[in-house]
Amino acid sequence: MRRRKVLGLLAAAPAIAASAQTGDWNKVVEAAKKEGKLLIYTASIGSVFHKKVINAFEAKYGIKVDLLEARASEVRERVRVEQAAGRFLGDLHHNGSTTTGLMQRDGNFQPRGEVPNTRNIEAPYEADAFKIPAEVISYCLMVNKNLVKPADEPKSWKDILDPKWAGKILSDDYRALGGGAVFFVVMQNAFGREFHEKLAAQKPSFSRDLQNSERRTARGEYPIYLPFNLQDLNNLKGLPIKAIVPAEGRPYVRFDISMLKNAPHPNAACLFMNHYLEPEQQLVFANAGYNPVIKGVIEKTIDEIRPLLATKAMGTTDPARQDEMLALAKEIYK
Amino acid sequence: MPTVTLSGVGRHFGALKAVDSVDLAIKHGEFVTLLGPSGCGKTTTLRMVAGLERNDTGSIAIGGRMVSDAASELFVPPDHRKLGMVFQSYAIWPHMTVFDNVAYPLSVRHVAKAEIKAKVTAALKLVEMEAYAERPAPALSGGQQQRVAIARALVFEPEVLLLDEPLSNLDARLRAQMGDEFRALQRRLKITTLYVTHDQEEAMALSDRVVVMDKGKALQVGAPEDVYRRPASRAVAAFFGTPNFIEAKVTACRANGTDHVLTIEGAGTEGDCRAGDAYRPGDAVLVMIRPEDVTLGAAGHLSWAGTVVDGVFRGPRRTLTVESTVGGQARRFTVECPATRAASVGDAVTLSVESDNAWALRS
Amino acid sequence: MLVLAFLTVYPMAMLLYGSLHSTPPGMAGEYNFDGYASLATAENLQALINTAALSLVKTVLSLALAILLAWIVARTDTPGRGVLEILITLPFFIPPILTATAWAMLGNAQVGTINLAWRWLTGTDGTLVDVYSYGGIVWHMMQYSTPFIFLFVVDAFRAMDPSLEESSRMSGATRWQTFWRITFGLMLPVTTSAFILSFIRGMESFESAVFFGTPVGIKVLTTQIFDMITQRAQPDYQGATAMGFATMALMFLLLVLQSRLLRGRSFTTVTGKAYAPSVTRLGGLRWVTFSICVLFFALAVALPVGQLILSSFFQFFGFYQLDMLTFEHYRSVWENREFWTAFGNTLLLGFLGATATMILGGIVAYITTRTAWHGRRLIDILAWLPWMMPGMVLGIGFLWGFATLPHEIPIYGTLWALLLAYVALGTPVAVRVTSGAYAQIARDIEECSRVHGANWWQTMGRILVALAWPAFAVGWVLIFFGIMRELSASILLYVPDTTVLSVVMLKLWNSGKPETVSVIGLVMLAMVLLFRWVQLRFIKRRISTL
Ligand SMILES: Nc1ncnc2c1ncn2[C@@H]1O[C@H](COP(=O)(O)OP(=O)(O)O)[C@@H](O)[C@H]1O
Ligand SMILES: [Mg+2]
Repeated sequence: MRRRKVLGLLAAAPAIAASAQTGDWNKVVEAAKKEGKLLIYTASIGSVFHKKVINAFEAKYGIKVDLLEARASEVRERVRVEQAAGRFLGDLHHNGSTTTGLMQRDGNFQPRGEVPNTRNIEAPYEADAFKIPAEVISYCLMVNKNLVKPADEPKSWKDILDPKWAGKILSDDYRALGGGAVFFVVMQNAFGREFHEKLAAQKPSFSRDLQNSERRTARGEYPIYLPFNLQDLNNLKGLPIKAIVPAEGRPYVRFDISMLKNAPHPNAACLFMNHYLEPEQQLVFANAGYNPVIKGVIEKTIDEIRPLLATKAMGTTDPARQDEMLALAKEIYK
Repeated sequence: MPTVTLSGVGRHFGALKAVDSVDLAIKHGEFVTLLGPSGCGKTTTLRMVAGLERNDTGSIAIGGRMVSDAASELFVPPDHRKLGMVFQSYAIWPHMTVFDNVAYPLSVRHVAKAEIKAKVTAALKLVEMEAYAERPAPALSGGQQQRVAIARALVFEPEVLLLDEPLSNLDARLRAQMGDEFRALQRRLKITTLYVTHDQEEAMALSDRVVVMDKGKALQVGAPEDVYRRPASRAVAAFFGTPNFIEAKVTACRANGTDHVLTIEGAGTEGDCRAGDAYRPGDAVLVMIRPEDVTLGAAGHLSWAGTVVDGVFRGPRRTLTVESTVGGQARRFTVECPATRAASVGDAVTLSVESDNAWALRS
Repeated sequence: MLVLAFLTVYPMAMLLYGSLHSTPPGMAGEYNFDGYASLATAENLQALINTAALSLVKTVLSLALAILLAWIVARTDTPGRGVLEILITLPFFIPPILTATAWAMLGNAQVGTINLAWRWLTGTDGTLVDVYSYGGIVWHMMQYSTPFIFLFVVDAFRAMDPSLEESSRMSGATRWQTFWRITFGLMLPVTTSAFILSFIRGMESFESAVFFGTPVGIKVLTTQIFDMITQRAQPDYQGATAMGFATMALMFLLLVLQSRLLRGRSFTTVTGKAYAPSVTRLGGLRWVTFSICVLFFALAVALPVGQLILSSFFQFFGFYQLDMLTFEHYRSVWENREFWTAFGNTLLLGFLGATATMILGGIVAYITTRTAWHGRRLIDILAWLPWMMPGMVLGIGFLWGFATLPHEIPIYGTLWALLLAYVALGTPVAVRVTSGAYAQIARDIEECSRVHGANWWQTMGRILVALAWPAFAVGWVLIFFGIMRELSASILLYVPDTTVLSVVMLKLWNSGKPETVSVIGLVMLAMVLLFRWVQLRFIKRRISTL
């Protein structure tokens, strides 16, 4: 209760939050342990790495974490309805930056308070008074090694426009929210409409079931799948596939963690945010194929992943232009 | 005393008055039959007594206890009326054995197992079905099912037994046999019985009293012979067989015990006949003459000359159609006579009827 | 009655509000018809036509096939029909995503097993089948609707009084005329109910369309709704709910048609008179009917289920190399704590939910088919509502409805929320199954019980349910497995303590573990086999005493 008042003040004067002392942090840790529980709403369904990081948190602080997993829009609607009905159940909200941004606009969050580890965040990722960046999904290309000889592997995103790939590309749908839409926006920004018109002429097949698409490519239905979630490499170990980050870099999508309005366990929530940004935890994600959001982690990742992560962040979506871009995608890809 | 009293009982479906203000008092141990053409409201009446249908008007009492009263909205559900009932289709539960079927009225009332066994066995013995106790119910012939249905209706020793055309699904011979057996059983157990049938012979053979119904109304209530010989209306008379009706005028009337003797004339004859009510000279009446009461040849009280125009052989009897023309007006008579004492088509005959067998009705 | 209203009308009212209000419940906004107005696009019209056509085709085909199979199993002397009866219903109980995956592997145009075999056989490089097509969608949906309709009608076939058919044969009708005019005619309530249920389900089917249709640009209503809710920056709940209601209005017409068709007719086949279900001796033909069943079984069951069983032992779906043999997936399911929590919750919800639904459905069906009560038409319609609203929209209705209840009513965030939603979702099936069965039972069979001293409940239990119980059992199984599969509402209503199997399966699927999902699918299949086996043993016992 007290903490909530303090937070109110913090919201009014963010400058005070910035100058909080280490002594205060110990108090947060103590209060968090006293709260003893934490409920996280997440749109990252079934993520093993998320679980790993949570388990480490539970072991370290003795605070029990419950996860409520659902798809992005479902998580959002649950939060919205619950808050509208005066039910404040969840503490943290873990979702893609687009949805997080919209929810922030709708007033579903409260200021998160001081999180010491935000200091280490690496550009272009940044925290604000409500949320911290959590991990980054990077999109690249996936090829079937049996069907694509090393010499034929695309080196640039533009290589997929080569007529030899006509009808041979499986892709996440650009006309719907998700990886495909991210890819669409980033390519549009980088290469303009012309790129998409040429790609449309290649007649890519669309699907929305990422995991299944990856398997289909691995089985040889298609030689190329895009955009490929780098972290899915973990599920495909042993299959004849290869992830390629083209020269221009990788489109990405950031996941954010934000504090839900009237969170019942605000200190535990704050502590968890800090925990998430610890180098060891970020390394868990990095080794899994997510880009970390703090400095000095990529260097420590395992060999097979490091070269893929240490590539240029090419760009991400812009929530403000989301609908416009979806409409454009619908127009180009009939 | 298990009696059944209906007063002013009525039920309509939409605009149709299926049962229209029926009054009836059934005495203890009495066998009363509702008789009437199909669709006249018999089943509906029976179902109201059973509590399967609510009466819109009037009230019903069973054993002196009011079970249904439209005015006060009193309605005792069927399971609290302590009845036994035999359905037209028998309604034998196909998923039970004969024993279970018969035991059902007892077991739903939580009677002890041993007692159920004894009573069911007794009931099955009553209908001579004890050998079939363990048979699955559907594996029975129609007559056997009917017996099971009766056993089931009797096993609880109900105050009143209701039967809806129980014999209609049986062949003629079995029907007669089952009817007699049932009548004997009913007499023995002295169980108050309300019986529904559209078969006049069945009704007359079984009942103490018959209620003749038509279009939802009880036209006449009386002993079979009364209803047959002394019908209250043309409708009742016409329901039994194919009586001849002759229009006539009353010339004199005198009382004779409870009846009246009328002297009539018209339609080519004159003479005496009987009537229930007193008439004034000059009144128009309709004289009912049953075909079997007409004799050929001999001179009787009322007589007509005519010609046989049709004859149907019916084994022991023969049905003749005789046409008699008086004053340019042709009149057809149906006549039943012994098959051996018959005339052939085209023969000229004289028809005669005893005064006692001619019954006058208001025309 | 109140329960039913709460379960159906309340969430519907929330949705209606959603469709007429610019923002979902709990947000400032205004009332308008924008949601409905926005529906009138050429794309939606195309989607509607696609949906209706797909559903109609698959329903007609499934109905024909299901009736044929039901007749074979229930009324002929086809060898092995007892086992066949269980086997041909299996596809219904496999999570659709698994069969879709299996079929995608078998029938994709590029490297699908069937096409590879075809090319090898013919030496050409042609394509025999492509499941990413209208045909693929229909075929995949049929695997669900055929067993569904079959389960619906098979007991009606069994309960038929053969004298009704015999009298037709005696009147000079051929076997086929008898089947069509008498057998089929008498089963109209059951078959039309099954048809409508199945057709509506087809209109709302999502998995088949999204899996096989989306890649080739085939749009249906549910994918449009899914699009509006999940694929836009700002979910369009107004449009989605409006489309839900528009769909519902269309399906309503069907119901009106059905009641027109059935009005004023009697379909009593279970009477108090003697009958013994008879089987038609087919002679040599019985091997033909046997082959039909086996063929259906091979195509709809053996292929996909075989695929599932096979892949559950390999590291990856579709990669059958010896060095990839593993028990890993079984072990991971066994050791997955969340799976066991969810399994426990789901079993509990399944048992309670299916039982409660059948009780509610049995009562509702009784009121609508057996009483003259004035409100019976209304309840009948109420009981249809949850079926006519696409699942993903209805799920939102439950979320809105339960979350906005006063906090003193402990439903939201508890198992109750899920239970109530499941009961509402299952009620239409329960009502259809039981009313179909009731319609076959002559009324005097029931009245006879009342007159002989049984109260309403005794009559219900010992006569109606006892006679209709095969239908009750089928309904129970359908609902039980419906609950096991339900995702749209579950994911919006569960909380970590009350997680259920479908949510766990979604998680596993999304984290790229289709093999583990197959293992769970197989566990569910094993349960179906057990349930059906027990159930049919009871039915058989009853038949053998007749
Ligand atoms: N449930 C009902 N709804 C409407 N009409 C009915 C109903 N039951 C009976 N009737 C009508 O009431 C009249 C009397 O029927 P019923 O009592 O069955 O005649 P019956 O004398 O042949 O047994 C008939 O015209 C019948 O059509
Ligand atoms: Mg009748």
